Amino acid sequence: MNEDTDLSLVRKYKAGEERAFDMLFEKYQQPVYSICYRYVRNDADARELTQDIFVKIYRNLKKFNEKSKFFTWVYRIAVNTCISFKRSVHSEIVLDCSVSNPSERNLILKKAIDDALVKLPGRQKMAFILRHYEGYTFDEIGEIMGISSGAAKANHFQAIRKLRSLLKDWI
Amino acid sequence: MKDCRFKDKVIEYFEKLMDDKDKIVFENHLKDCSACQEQLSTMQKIYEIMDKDEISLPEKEFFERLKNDIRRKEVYVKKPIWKIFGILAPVLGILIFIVLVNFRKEQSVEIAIPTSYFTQDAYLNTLFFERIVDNGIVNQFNLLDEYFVVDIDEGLQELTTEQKEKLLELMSKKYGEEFL
Repeated sequence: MNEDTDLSLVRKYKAGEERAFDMLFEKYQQPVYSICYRYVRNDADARELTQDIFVKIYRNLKKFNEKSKFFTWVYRIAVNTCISFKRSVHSEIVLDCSVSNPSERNLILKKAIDDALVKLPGRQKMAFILRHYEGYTFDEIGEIMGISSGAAKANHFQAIRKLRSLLKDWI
Repeated sequence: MKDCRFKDKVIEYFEKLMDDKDKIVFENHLKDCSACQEQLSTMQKIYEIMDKDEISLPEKEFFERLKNDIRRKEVYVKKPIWKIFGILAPVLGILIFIVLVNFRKEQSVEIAIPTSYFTQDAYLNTLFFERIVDNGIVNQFNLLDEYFVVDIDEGLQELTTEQKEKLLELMSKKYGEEFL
């Protein structure tokens, strides 16, 4: 489903075709949840955020003026909602990188990634998520985050530098 | 590594952000720079680690429920105020009418009607005096005249028989059973 399809669905929804929203929802439900999960690092908060984001999308869809690409608009709502989200308090687990059992080691590594990403500042983390996991260009990331392409790149690079330091025991 | 002038270029190279010219220059440098090679290797490891960060998506039902909930919530939220007001307006109107009518009735009885008309109106006289057993009470009633505000002289004449009876009833409640 490309940008033209998105726009066509948006126009249909504006014309009163409720089913068009369902199709947009189905297209973006997983990417939006993924961004939320990668940002907050827990399922409960990610679900709550996903709901907030789609409520905003549904509420504002008729106001979408087509000045930007639809996916940029959706992701911008997602990014802003994530960045302004006050995350729940989660207990930190003390990591032991020397564990030899592979499944246990993977779990601990996952927790290490969680903790490393949680420690990143919001904008750096979001730039990293959009670049690394979603594969957007820095121009697109800049547009989504409302910053310049250069600033998006700088945020991403800062994130990598911090991750390098935070995950040094695993490298 | 600190002294390598290419130290900030490693990420750029790794992210494939360099143009062809810079790329050739960097790759030539990379062949002889162990610090940049190590840096590049670290970058690859970080990306390998981060690639292991797989996520489990919620069950299909979650998204289905969410889609329906959003619509339900929004139908509730989006209901225009004027529509809600449209439903409530008749109820409010009736309530206001009842309150005003009752309030006006009380006012018309207690304020707008001159007591002197009680003795001048034939029907009221009949109703009134037939029930009086003590002339003193009549006199007391007449004395009350001065405590009433007389501003609508026609008020009493416009009353129906039913209203006049109601008036007497209200007056008796206000000034005591002895009036009846």
